[in-house]
Amino acid sequence: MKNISNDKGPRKSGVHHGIWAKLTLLLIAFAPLISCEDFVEVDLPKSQLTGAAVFEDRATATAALMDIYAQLRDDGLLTGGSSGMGNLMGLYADELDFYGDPTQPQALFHNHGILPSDATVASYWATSYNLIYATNAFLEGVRNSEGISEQDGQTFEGEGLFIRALLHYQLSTLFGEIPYIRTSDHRANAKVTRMALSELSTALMEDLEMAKELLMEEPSLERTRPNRDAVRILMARIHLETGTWERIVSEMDALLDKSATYIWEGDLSRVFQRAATGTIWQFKPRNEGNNTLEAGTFIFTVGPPPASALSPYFLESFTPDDLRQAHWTGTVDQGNDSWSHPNKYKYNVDTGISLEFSILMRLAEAYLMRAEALAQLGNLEGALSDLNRIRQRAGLSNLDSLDKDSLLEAIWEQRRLELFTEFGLRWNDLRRTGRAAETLGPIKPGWKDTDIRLPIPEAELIINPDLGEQNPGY
Amino acid sequence: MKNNHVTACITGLLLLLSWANSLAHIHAAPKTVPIPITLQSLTVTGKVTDDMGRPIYGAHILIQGTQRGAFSGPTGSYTLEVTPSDILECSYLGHVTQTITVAGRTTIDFTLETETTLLEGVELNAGYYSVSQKERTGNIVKVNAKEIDKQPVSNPLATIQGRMSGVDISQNSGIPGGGYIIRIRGQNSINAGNDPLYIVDGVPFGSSSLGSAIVSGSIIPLGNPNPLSVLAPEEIQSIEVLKDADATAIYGSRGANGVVLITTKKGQVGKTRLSVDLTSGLGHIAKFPKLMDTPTYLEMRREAFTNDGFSDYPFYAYDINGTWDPDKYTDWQEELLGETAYRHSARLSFSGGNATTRFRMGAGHQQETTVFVGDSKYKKTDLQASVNHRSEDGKLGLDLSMGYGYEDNKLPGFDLSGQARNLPPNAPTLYDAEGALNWENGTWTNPLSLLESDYLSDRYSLLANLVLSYRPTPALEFKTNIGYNDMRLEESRTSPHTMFNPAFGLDSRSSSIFFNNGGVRSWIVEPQIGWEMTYGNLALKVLAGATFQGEVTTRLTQLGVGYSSNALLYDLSAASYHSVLSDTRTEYRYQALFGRINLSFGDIYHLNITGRRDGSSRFGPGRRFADFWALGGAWIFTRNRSIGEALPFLSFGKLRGSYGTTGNDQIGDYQYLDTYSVSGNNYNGITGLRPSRLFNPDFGWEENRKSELALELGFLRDRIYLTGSWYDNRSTNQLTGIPLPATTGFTSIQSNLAAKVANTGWEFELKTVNLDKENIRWTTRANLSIPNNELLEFPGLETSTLADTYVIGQPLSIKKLYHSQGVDPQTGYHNFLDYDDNGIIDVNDRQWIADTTPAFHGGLGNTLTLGPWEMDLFFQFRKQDGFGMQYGGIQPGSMVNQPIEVGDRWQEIGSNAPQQRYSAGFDPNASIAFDRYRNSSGTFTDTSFFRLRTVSVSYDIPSGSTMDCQVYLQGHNLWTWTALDNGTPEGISGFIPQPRMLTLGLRLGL
Repeated sequence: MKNISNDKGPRKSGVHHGIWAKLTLLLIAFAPLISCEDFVEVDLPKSQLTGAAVFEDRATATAALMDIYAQLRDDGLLTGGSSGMGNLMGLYADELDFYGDPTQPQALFHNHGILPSDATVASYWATSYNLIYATNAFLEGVRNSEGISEQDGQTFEGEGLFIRALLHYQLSTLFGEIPYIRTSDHRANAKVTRMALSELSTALMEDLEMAKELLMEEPSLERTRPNRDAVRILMARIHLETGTWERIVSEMDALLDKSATYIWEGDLSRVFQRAATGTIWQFKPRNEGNNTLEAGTFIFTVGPPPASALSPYFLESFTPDDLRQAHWTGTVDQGNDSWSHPNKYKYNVDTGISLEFSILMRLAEAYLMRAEALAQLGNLEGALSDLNRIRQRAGLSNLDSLDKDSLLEAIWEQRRLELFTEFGLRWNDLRRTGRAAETLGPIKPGWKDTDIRLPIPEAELIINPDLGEQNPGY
Repeated sequence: MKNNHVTACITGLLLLLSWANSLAHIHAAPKTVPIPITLQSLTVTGKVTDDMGRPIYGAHILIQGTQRGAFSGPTGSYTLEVTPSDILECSYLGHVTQTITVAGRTTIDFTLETETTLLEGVELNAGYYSVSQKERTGNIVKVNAKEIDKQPVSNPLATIQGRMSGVDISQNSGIPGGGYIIRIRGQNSINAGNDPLYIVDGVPFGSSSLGSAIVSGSIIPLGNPNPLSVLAPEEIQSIEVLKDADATAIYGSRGANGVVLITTKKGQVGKTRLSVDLTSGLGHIAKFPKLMDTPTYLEMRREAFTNDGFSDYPFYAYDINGTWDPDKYTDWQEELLGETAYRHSARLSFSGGNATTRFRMGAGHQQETTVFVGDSKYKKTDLQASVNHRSEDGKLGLDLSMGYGYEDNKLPGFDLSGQARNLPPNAPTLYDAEGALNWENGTWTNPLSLLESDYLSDRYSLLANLVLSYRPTPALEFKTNIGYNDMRLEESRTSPHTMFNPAFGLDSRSSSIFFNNGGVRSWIVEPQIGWEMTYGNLALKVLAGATFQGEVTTRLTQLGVGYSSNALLYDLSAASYHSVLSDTRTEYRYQALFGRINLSFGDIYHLNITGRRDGSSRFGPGRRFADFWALGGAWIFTRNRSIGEALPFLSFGKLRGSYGTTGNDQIGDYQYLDTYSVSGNNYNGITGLRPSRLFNPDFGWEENRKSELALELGFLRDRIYLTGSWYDNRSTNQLTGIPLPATTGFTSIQSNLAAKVANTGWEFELKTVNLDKENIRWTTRANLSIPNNELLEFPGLETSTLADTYVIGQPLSIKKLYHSQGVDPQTGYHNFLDYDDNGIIDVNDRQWIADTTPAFHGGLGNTLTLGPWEMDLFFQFRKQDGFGMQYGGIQPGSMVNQPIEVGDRWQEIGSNAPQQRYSAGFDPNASIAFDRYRNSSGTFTDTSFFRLRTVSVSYDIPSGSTMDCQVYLQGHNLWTWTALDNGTPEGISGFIPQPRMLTLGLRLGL
């Protein structure tokens, strides 16, 4: 650093001669203070680590991954909270009715009044891509790391690839064609285009094949992190979209063969418990003692319902002997009125020790997916056997000898009654099987055929014109 | 044509000649009068005092026509060798120069009167130095205690609102402790970093609020309470705003957005005084927007369902399906925001001093309630103390000032403005028969449930400043400024289960509370050397110094959930689980070298050179240092004898200009680093780590080049004083958050923007004394600013993410909107201009440019003193366009009340109406058309206003000689004219506007 007196000091010969000596002395005295860049060198804040340091250590790399799971659980598409797909797409489809304040965003999902500027839709998009960024940064960090063991690195990478595929898949079920983001480089990601659906499923499969290689067969502790079977379920869901039936059968065979790991729970009341044996992947609540966000979203004790409640249209679909209505729905009676809510999860308060986790993937879906694939392939007997497993547990009689179409109808009906209000699976079934218009048209005054997709957030189209056209109808 | 050229040439020549002549005159002067040192020489001694009898140290006594002279010493005394016929001229900054002929005497005392021109506050604080109003080369505006004391407001920023040209202040909420937006000469940067630098008594005062949006965002806009509110306006002596390069370049990297200097009151030489000030006031919201009454509202709702093809109403249409009483009417705005706010304050000050020591202590307490229903309260207590000491010989000086402030704010957790505006007029009563909150069987969200949530905030601020100085000779001074600022904010917001509809069946196990504790501690040390020299007509002032500054900001945000009883809510240890959302500590280091050289020649020409070399920890290695400089000049042409004589109507005339550079490092700490932060989130028992930001290791200093030209004119012995200035600020390489598509994972990245932005404008200030008689004095002051903002260049704008936000040649403050074409008489939907003529209205048709930059703004004040009476009226005005009530509104026909003008809607084919057909939300065409309309030119309108901002009347009660007693009445926002048909022209939607306030006060002095 330069001494300031060089350019600022006046060179007047002096009225006060002694002063220059004093001045110089003073500047010399300051010199140690001002002569180094060290002064403006600051330590990192205690709550931050450099990106490189995070991935030099197994514990901090794990923390980066755990944060992604925590965000998936609390926010965005897969949360059990009221902004998650379980509630909103339940309202969008025919499972739930909305009784709350009609100006709330949930009401717009219920009556199909969603506009391109909708804040919830924008937040689905933004939170998902934010997590995709975190996942890509995590994948890059792990791949460049020298401090993580090979085995840990494989698990990390497998989980990262799985999460990235999961988020992209969920987005595509809502928005159709979407950008597929593989890097954390913002320059590239600012100019992305949307990927055609066929290309997208190829990309998803590439990621998932790799994830399957990298992940373990055994479930993680308490099944709170995905293993190879979670990858298989996601693969099967994607194959349902594309009609790749053989692959569904082979993936589900591999999963269902592990009968020592995943044990069919015969008792409906135990399917959603913390240690349920049919669980493949579940979210652990934030703190020990907390239970699921789903319970908080759906349960009410006095009528009329403050927010969402099961629609009468859906409730009528339960046959009187279906045990699931008694076990998995709750009813509030008040005078002549009666309302029901999903009651798969029972605890909307803390319980000291958590009794329920939020289950993302479970055995019943695996059987139903295999049943559908087998039926499509013409193996009606195999399909029936898988379907009857679901029916039996619900207290329904076994079906036999149906033709293919009726069998598919029966499978879809069981999917509806078994998987209701789970992450928008019902809406997804209506959409992928092309039955959305015929089912929702008559019961939803706001229904338009273009509602099959949500609008791409308007602000995104403006800021990145490469995203192309808005989805039709918006 | 030819003639014109000749005239221009002659005029130019004449000007040149007069310039040369004046120079010659000055240079010639010493030569033509030789100094004969005769045998008759004698020694004159004497004393220089001011009009109060205080000795003046450093006054210059000059023998006229020579270069010989002396300075007065610390006791005001001087000694000088003269001849009996010499004429002595005694001058001191801010005082009228006195001339006395020696006439053989050996003792000559000077009594210098304070310069009592209109230039109130003759001395201007320029931060590191002070400068007289007349000789300043830069643009500095000032509001003094006299003007501040007339306003019944609690934030210092409110006291300068409308009173300074080029300073645009708006308050974004009317609640006590709410935030302000201040822009000095326009918006330089797009997202963050437009705040000026605040310096209180020489110590930088952090403008960051320490607030957490998660805690306070629902009651204070942007969760950004203004930290300056902790200072009591009554304790402020003056507020100066530095605007141009000459004034701000010495603040280097922190001066780009201007500098606000706040000086607290100090003790005065003279008898010890005690002063007591008591006030009591009340306020309420001046005017609510007009909304529909019940019959109009219900008609809208029924028509909406009919339009949507419904014959009977769905179960959730409680307002019209018979669930709610169709005959009920509540004016929700009056009900929820119509309370009277009370304000009481008491203040005591004690001050005095003698020639060597002055002191002052002031303490005050203030209480204020809000217009919200419920028991909210704001309390502020402050204590100020200062001691100023000069040693007997005047060589050592010590100035200590300390201030402690404490604010205690209890507000509802949510601003109810949104509810007041939106609730259907026939919504149920607030309380049931038993006096409990009425949930009407869960058919509505009782707005008072939001009042179950409390927002509490405590803010403490300690500010201490010590200036030690040593002046070995009158011309040389060593000085060190040491400052410390400690500010803490503790805030919390509760969400007890009683906020929620009882139908959820919740109990206190669902109650929760957010806590946020923030603190910022900063210190500053600034050693400086000042040196002055006079050589004949040439005066030189040199200042050199260094700054070392450190700042540590800490923040701890916590959440507690699940209590056995709501009574334990504030006890985190009683929460069944407790989580730390964020725990951060950031550090900022800053160092600089600065200097100033001021040259003045014959008090006619002034040249001011300032410079600063800055280093900041906010930039990556290799990019931390930058240099800033400015050059300012002033020519007081009326002091050139020939020009002065040629323009006899001018009592004062000055031309000044400046050019220089400043920077901006308001970008937050550590932005250049790739880091992971603790997220506070938990999974599998592990606390998460999250990428902190999109990092950019390459960003560097932005640069602002400011130029200014100004003319200051005084007429009739300065009874009319006019200043006109023109400025042109250009910023390049702007540091800003560049917006990104969500696909990048983030919404913006900190980066240097490859754009060039110009802020240009005109500013005028006028001060006049219209009447000045023995018992009556009438003065007027006015200011006017005409700002202009323009994006000059932006290479690659088309392909950047800002392509749709900015347009070359337009201001940064534009918004692109749909161009409303009225309602289609056939369909009843809003129509828009199809810019690209492709038959489809989509985002590409958002091409109508709305500009919210004000065309001009300013203020007009009049003060009339009539014996013991004084009356002051201050108007604020602003010519601007802005958004009306339907901007971002909710579709007419939904279960939301509407402004009355919405009643003028389309009803049948062929009808012409400004509003489209009602829809309850089941007609997608209506929804989409309205969604565009609320972002269209149709909601953009003239929001100009002219407001009587302050009225103050005071009366001095005649009393005994030892006591003064004054009563006063002050009004704030008493009357507003606005071009807007319905609604208020200022503020943010969803938050209450500034209330109308009336205050009665009593001031006693002993």
